[in-house]
Amino acid sequence: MVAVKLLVLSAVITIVIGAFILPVVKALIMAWVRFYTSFAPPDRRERRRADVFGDIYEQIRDCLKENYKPSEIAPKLVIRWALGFFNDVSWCAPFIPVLVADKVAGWSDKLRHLRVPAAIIAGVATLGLMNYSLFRSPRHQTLGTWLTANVVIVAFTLLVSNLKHPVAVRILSAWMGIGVGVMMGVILWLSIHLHLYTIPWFQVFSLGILPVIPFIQVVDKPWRDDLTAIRRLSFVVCWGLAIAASLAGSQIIAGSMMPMFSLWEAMVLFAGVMFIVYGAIAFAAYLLCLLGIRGSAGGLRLVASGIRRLR
Amino acid sequence: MKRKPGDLVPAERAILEVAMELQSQGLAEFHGYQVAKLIDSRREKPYLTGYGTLYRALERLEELGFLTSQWEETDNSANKPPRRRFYRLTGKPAPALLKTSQDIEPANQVLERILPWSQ
Repeated sequence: MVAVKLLVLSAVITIVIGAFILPVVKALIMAWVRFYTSFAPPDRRERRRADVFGDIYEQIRDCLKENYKPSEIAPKLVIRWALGFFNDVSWCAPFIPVLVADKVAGWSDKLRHLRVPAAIIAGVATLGLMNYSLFRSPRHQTLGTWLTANVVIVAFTLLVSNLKHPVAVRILSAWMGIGVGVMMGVILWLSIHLHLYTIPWFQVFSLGILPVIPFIQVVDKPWRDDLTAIRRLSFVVCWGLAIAASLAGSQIIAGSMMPMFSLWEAMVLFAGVMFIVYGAIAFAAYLLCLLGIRGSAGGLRLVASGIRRLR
Repeated sequence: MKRKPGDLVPAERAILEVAMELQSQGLAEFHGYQVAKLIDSRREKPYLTGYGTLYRALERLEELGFLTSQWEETDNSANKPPRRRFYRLTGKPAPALLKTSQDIEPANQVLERILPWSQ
């Protein structure tokens, strides 16, 4: 019984292989030819494809004329493909760096154009998600966490997007203004709460810095523009100041650095999560923008062809 | 390793030999498969009939000026077979073949030179 079953199975397999092996092998070889020639310039690509496709056609026709079965022709094709495989690879190898360079140039060009919308979409989405999650969990509902998280995302968005764009420069200026204002508020609160105004060096510092802040923010516009032009340095300076101030505040208020380190730990975790969320959304936004552009181009082509037909 | 200008690899030499044979039979133009079939029928170097090997060699021979090629003219019918590229000798191959065959010392002569007592 088992022998009969095996016999039937082998017969079925033979029939199926006999019926499909030649078209499958032919299609696979043609796919390989299409693949490796896709790296070559159009004229050489078309020539090689036509050469091999014509050859395959001729060989199959010739073998059928000589009464070969399809299952006997397929191995002949495979052997010829395998014998020329390394020549195929070495033939297309010189074209690959050129093609890759072209593609990279094209993609970086597209990326440059899509950086602003992708960063803004990702920034807005991440802000929305982060604020929603912060307000949903009462444990993290502190003004400091909320403010820092928002500032980080806005700063990140501006860094990722093209900062030379006038809108981005304006947002960055506003963010810096808010940041400086908040810092002034914190200093003022600390000075009142801890009677810092009684310390002579604090008085000098406050008196010195207070008139400069509005001058920077409102009056001296070229200076502010310079500050935004050296944005990376300004980020470092701002964050350096913030870190130093937070350490000093932690030492003054709690008499220990530990509360601030704990907060930093939470912030690093937050930044990690934010980076992943932001990155995923930015990637999706970028793809959407790209598809949108492709779709629009396709739509325009469709409309143009429709108009041509109507005419 | 770079080859010297004018040097021919076995696939190129085999193609030129077959092309001359076809020409002597009155077939001035030939396509790739005809060459592959003839090389295969000789049973000497069937490994030269791989698609990649064959068409790369044909391209190179054309670049070196031993062959010219042109597409066959076909009608625009729906079920037309793929267009074939026909190759033709330019008349330059004979010296090149002579040069390469003279350059190569037969194996038995090399053996005799190195091991004179082997005769």
